[in-house]
Amino acid sequence: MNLRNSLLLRLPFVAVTLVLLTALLMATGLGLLTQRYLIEDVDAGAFQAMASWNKSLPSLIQQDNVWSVYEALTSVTGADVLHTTSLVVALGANGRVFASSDPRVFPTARPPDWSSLWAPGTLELSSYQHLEDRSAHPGQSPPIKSGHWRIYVSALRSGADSNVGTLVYAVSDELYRERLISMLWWIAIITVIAVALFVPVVWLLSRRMLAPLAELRRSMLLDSGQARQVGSVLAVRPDEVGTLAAAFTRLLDQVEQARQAEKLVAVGALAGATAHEINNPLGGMLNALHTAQSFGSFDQTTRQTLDLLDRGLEQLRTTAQALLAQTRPTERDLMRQDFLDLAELIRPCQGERQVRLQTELALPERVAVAVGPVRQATLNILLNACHAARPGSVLELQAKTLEPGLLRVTVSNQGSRPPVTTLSSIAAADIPPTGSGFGLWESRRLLSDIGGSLHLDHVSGVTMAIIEIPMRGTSVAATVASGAQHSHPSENRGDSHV
Amino acid sequence: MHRRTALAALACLANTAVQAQARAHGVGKPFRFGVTDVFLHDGAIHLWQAFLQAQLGLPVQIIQKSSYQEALEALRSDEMEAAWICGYPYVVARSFVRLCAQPGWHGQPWYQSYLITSASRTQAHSLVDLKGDVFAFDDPLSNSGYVVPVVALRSLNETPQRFFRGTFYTYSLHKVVEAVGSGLADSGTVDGYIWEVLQLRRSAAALKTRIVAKSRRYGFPPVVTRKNLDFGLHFQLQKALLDARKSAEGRMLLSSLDLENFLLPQESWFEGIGELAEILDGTHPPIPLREIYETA
Repeated sequence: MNLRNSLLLRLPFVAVTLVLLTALLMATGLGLLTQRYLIEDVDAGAFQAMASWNKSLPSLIQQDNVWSVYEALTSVTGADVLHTTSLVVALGANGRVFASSDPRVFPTARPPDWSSLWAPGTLELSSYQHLEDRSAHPGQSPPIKSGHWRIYVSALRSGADSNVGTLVYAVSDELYRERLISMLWWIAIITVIAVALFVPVVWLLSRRMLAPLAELRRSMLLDSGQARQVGSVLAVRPDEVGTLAAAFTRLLDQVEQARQAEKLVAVGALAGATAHEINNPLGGMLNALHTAQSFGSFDQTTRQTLDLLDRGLEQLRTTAQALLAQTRPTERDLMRQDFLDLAELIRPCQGERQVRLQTELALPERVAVAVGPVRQATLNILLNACHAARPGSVLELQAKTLEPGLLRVTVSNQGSRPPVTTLSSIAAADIPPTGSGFGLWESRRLLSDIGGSLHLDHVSGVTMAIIEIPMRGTSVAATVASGAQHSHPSENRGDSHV
Repeated sequence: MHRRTALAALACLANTAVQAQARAHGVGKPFRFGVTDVFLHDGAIHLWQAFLQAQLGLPVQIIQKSSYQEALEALRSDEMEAAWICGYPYVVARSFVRLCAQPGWHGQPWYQSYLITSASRTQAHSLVDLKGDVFAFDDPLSNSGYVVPVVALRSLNETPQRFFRGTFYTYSLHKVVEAVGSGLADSGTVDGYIWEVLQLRRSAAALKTRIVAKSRRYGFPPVVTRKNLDFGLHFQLQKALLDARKSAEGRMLLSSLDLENFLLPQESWFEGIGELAEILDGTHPPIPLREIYETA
């Protein structure tokens, strides 16, 4: 198996990847959240400073106290302009700079030059929804973003409507960037530590969870005995691996059984073929022997020898029949054409006896019964009926299927009543009749091998042979029920029925 | 009488006199001494207190005023017994204060007023070059921090409002240096003593400034007492200051102020400031600019 397609690698890899992605997402989220909170802190601090300046600066500006305004401004921003991260400018009512925290950039008593803070088109008004109490800062703008500056503007009022000036406070991103970078470093370090800790743990845990699966997979490469042993051990687990192992063990058992069955089938096929080869000449031998016994005249010793030979051959035939019944190869289904073939086969007899054959086939093109016995038995009965038929009469052949799964073949001819020995030959179980009736007995034997039956009756000058064979795949109970449903003519007449 | 016996008797008399003065001032009542931002740092306040308490034998309270006006008001209303004020406030308040002692800078009772500007501004060499500046004054009653440049402008027939783009007061001499050093003011006027000491101490603000012009010499800011103060206490304070170098507390105080000693003051040392005051009042005609500012 390609390792790239192995769940033993893919699942741990997916788990580790998920851990890494989760850590990355959390670190990114924390970083963004930290930046947001820091900006909110900057805004809150700026608004607090602006609120303080709004209270103190108007009176100082009205007193023309530049130095005190400068001190108030630099008390927040610091006077070291080289390292300051914020800048504040107080404008007088005339729009000129009254004082600023960096007088070299915003000189006192001059119009302000804002180019160091913003350029046209760079201002971006921020939302101050995060400020809880906006009403506390009347006359104050929301934060304005311009480059790396966040700018806050507020009107300086002495009284209700007395405009003293304007305050512009700019805070550089550098104010919180150092803290942000420091916190991002911490987040990164913690994330790396967490990843370094959890990735091996997740990898080892997933590998450990998949270890039984790996063991099951390795057992598939072993011989069946060792594989069954491993599977039996794993099958006791209460998880999915246990279920898989149990199924695998069952599969191994079934494979073994199938292998044994194949061997038996091969042996059976051999036995069947042997039996078939024996059965045919054996039939001829028995036929000849019975003929000799029926019509020949032998001394006592010869007759005893023939009888001994008959019993021996019959024993062989019984054995061969038993083997054939057990190992009979699957024969093809009976076709409608087979009955037409039979009509052709008895045509010489028809010509000899001057009998007309009338067929009635109410059956589908294919009927699920073994063709050989049915065909042979029907031919035997047709030949018997043809020979027994009164010359110039009609010989009838009917075949139809009955529900559920029953084939009924009826052969009837006009003529004299069959001899009692012929009727009784059908009922004979194992011993073939001597003289007439052997064909019927043989037909009954063939049909009984495939679960069928043969019934012979004679009523009002008409002799009727009825064959009933259950179709393949039909249960015996169903067949019996069918037989009960389709009442047999003999039930009313008390005739023999096999 | 032997000489040694006579000295012992004088010392005993002096001690008795101190105790008598203490009783006269009121037992437990502190001696209140006023200072302004002439001082460079708050540590000097504690040195003043330690020195005066040791020499006067009285509890001493140092009162720091934010302007000379407040200091004069405190002297006039008997809120303070003595104060270290500027020469011009003394001239203004001669009616209710008297000279007590004169700090000696480099051993001399003189100092100069400096016009200063940014160190990077190399083209300004006189008051005239400062036209259109934002100018920082110290205190409206400060000789070096206000009177000298304003009188100089009179000689140019100018007023600060016309001559400068803007003016403001810092009410502290070293804050004038800070204002000019930071760029808040383009130029300013400051006590030469303060600027030199700041330079000596490598003050960052002072190092960002340079001198445009130095004035004539004027009487150094004196220590005065209110006129209605008991003479004994006045002379006791005077003696303590004049003998400052003789005590450890005195030497520490002088060292922290970068002064050499205290001198017995003379009225003539303040004639120059008096002349400036008359020009400011309009009772004296303006004098040429070159008689006010020497070259830098």
